[in-house]
Amino acid sequence: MPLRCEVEDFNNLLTQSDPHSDSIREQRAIEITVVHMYAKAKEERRHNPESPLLHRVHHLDYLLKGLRFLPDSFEGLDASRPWLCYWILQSLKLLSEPLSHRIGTDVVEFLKLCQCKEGGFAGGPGQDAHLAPTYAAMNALAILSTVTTPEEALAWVDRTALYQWLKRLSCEDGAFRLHEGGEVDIRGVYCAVSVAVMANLPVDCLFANTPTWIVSCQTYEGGFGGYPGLEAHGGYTFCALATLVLLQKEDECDQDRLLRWVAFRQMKVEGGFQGRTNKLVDGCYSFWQGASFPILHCLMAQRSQQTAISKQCWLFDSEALQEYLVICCQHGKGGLIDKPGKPRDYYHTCYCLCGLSIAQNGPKRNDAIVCDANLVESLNPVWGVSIDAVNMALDYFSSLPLVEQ
Amino acid sequence: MSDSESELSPYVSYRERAEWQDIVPLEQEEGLAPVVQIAYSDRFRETFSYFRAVFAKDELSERALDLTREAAMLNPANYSVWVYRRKLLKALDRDLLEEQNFLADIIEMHPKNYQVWQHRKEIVEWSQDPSLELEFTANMFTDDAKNYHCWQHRQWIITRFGLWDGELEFTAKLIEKDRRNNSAWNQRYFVVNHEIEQLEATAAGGAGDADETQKAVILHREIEFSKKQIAKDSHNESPWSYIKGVFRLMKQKLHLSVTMMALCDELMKDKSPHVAAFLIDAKEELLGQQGEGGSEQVNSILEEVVRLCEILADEWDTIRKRYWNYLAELLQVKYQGLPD
Repeated sequence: MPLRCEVEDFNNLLTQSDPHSDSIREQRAIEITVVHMYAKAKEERRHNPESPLLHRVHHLDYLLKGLRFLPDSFEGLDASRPWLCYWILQSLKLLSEPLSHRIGTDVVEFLKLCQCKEGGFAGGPGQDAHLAPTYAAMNALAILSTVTTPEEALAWVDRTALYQWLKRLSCEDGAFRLHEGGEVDIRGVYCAVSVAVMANLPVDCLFANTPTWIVSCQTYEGGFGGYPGLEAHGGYTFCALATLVLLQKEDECDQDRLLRWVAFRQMKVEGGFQGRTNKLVDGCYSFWQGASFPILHCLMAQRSQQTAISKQCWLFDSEALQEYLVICCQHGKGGLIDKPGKPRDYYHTCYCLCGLSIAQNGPKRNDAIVCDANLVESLNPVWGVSIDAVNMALDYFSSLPLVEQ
Repeated sequence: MSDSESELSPYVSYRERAEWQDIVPLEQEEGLAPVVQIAYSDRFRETFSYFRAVFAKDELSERALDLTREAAMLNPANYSVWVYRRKLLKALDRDLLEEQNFLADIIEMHPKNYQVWQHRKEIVEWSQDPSLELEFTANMFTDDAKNYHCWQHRQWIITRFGLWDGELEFTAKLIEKDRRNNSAWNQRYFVVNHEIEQLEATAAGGAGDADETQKAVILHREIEFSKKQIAKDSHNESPWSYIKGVFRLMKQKLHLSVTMMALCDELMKDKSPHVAAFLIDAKEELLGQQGEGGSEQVNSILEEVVRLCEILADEWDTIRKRYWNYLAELLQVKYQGLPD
């Protein structure tokens, strides 16, 4: 089976030059870079039909090192350390790297230091609680429940304090602040609902107005902005859709217009996704945008659109996405990136691999380009963690008594 | 130690500063084994150890305020520092204009950071003085006309303080500068949506008819605006989504717009997916009106829609082949009454 980069007539697809628009100029520059890389990949395949490969060993080195030690250039992430735990653990899981009980215990002990007395988790020991590191910590703990045991990873989470803290962050209109004295945007809603559902907290009162607020973030383009009135954006759209699914209110938004918008976010030359209309491709959107496809697929298959929905694949060009990720988004020294020329980081490593997972693991098949060695594990698109990790955590928390409202 | 300049002053260790002798720095808890452990520089480590110490005793002093500035400059993403700084600014009743100046500099250095923009918003809310904000955001747009935080701030300012005047022209200027700036198009929708809301509010007060005529004037204005931009570049997605959005807002039908339908026919030669998509949407409206279940007219329109989907899937927009095939089948099932 030839790859897209071997048969596509890229020159015909290039954006037409126009000095009068910065957007066009920048877009064209990326296209030319990427087309050049695709040409090289095509050439490479002529003497090595087993290319391009996912450089698993390099990525594992980068990930395992970072799980322990990070250089001072990471000072800017000192308030995001649970994120680093989640990004790295999730990446390792996708690459099927077995983790020792020892490592699992160590990360659990670290996350305990990040739990706040007032509820929730902070970006680092001694900092204030914040919804984003709380979401990341809970996801990391879900993964760790499959590395150690559910009891070890989860029993000490203070669900009562967590619930009270979520209540304090909630706004009357259904939105959530990210932390006390902090900003309100749709990330808050997703993080709050995600941890509440995972930890088996009472959701009906806490999120009564939330679906309505989320829907008010759907724009004329069909995607969702971070706040009512703001531009449709991949990250915020993921938050919106995943939250509606978690609250079982997915019918409240316009799924058809959402599907149209997200389908149009795939770049016809690069094959990867952009975050917003007329902006540039970025590997991380492989997940933020890509996740909408399996989610919508599930929702639409339940309705009367059964014949229309393909039984084999998601409604985007998954081979093109895989080629973008494997050919253009691997850093030479390990880790994955936004686009050629950008530095590597753990955030892009995680979301590029998550996007790769979605592209490879369709409704009925698991199919990596080139060879099975490129296959990464599947995940639950609503949470961004593997299915067994989610289920382990959900099962454990649902066995615990209900928290007082 | 604090300057009016937003740069880190040359480093003098806190241990060696006379005014800090009474404070015992608080080390960060790290646990027994290293996990995502950052190799902090000495300056970073020490500054935050002193920060933890004053934070723990909830000290509300000038020196604590200066410390938060240093800490915020070292890691502007440390939201705990900013919350504490706000507490200090209030307690010490500081000059908010000076804080705005500090913020202007730090936002320029870290334009995609959530905390600095939230801090600016909070300062403006206290001072109730938005007078610098439109110019500040406009200035930030010269570096990056699509900065999401900046657009969020600007929308908040406009909504909070009613500064709608001149915003439509502002969006036109940005679109003139870069017709593919989707953020500018989104902002235009934001303004027009407000215009409509105002009209409907007045209408509710009893001026019913005036409302419909004025809406028609606005729609016409926006069709002409979008048409101009489309004509320059029919492959630009922004004006197409925009004008469809405006039609929906006004509860008007695409297929009834002679201007838009004529424009589409004229532009088919460009092979733009957006032209074809517009026609599909317009024809779907028609199908919706005819009702489901296979009359000759329905079949004829349906055939056109399917043909358009095929052209897109096979020639004009092959990356979205699966989507166009799905849409064609979906519409056929819906309107032809094909068995499920």
